[in-house]
Amino acid sequence: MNAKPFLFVILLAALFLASSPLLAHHSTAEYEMDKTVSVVGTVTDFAWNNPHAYVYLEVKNDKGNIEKWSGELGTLGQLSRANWRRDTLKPGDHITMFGNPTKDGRQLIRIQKVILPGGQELAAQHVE
Amino acid sequence: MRNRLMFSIFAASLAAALSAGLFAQSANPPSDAKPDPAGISRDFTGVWQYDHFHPALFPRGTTPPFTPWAEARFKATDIKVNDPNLGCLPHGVPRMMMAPTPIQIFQEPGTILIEQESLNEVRQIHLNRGHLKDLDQTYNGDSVGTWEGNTLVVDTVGFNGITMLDHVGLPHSEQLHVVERIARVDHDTLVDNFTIEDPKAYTKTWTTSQTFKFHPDWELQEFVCDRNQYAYHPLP
Repeated sequence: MNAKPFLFVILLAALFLASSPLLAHHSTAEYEMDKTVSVVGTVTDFAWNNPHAYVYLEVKNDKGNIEKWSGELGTLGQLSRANWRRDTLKPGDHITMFGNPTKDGRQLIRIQKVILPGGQELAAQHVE
Repeated sequence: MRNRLMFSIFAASLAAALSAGLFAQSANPPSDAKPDPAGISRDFTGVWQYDHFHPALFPRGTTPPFTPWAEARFKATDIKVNDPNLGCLPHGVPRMMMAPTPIQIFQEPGTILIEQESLNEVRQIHLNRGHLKDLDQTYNGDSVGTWEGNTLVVDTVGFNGITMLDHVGLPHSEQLHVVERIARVDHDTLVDNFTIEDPKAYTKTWTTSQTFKFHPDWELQEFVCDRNQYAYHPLP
């Protein structure tokens, strides 16, 4: 469970801060906002819900075991304005999600952006 | 004779123009009114979103003028479980003007409505009455507004004390009194300056502000908090 070869911690990820999503429903206190990680895996579900949408991934670690990760997104309004749709992600899609890890080490991130199967980047928040 | 007639017509026209000008001046809003060729200064209608998100009204390194009651309450708050938003309760004022989702403003004679997309929360600002007597305590309080020139001055009291002032748990009590001065400073910019008074929670009044940008091509979305994954534990 501790092996995380697909999890890369990028300190001071200023590159992504400009597109940082904002959670309308609650604070970001459970996340390490000064760190960004990437998680590569296969989508098992995409929950297009308010107050938050969620992405669920299966990630194979370096021992060949499957880890279950999830990514929290903002509201459906925030996502719609950032060109997300309810079918943007589908089970079986192989994606990379970037975001803030939790302080308590749960396999959950606050998504800043994803890289879709076709290589397209999609930010989690509308950017002017 | 012809010259005298022309002079009389000119003099009458000048007098009419001057009197029209004087009338227009007296009918215009007072002192702080600026040129408003598009007629939009008192028109806040439309969709707006903050230009910069401020989760904390007092950022790190600054200290709110807490009373002992408020300081103890702030220290006791775990925003991960005590935030009323986790229970999908209204943001209240001023927080609903600070949320990271757009607002839409509707104006009709006597009332201005502001809808916050998050939770589809609506506040009413009454323009033709003062505060009601014997108010019920509510999440958004009782807001009354008056125009000072092109600035809408909104006075709000009657809060229930359940909400928080910002996204990091800044507390307030039922004695909260918020005065806002809202102005459309240019076509695309709306500024809301807040004065916060709460003698139970703060030893002196303090101010904050929020700037909004106009998004005429946006629509607010439905926001029903029906798939909430968070547990809310109210502060005692």
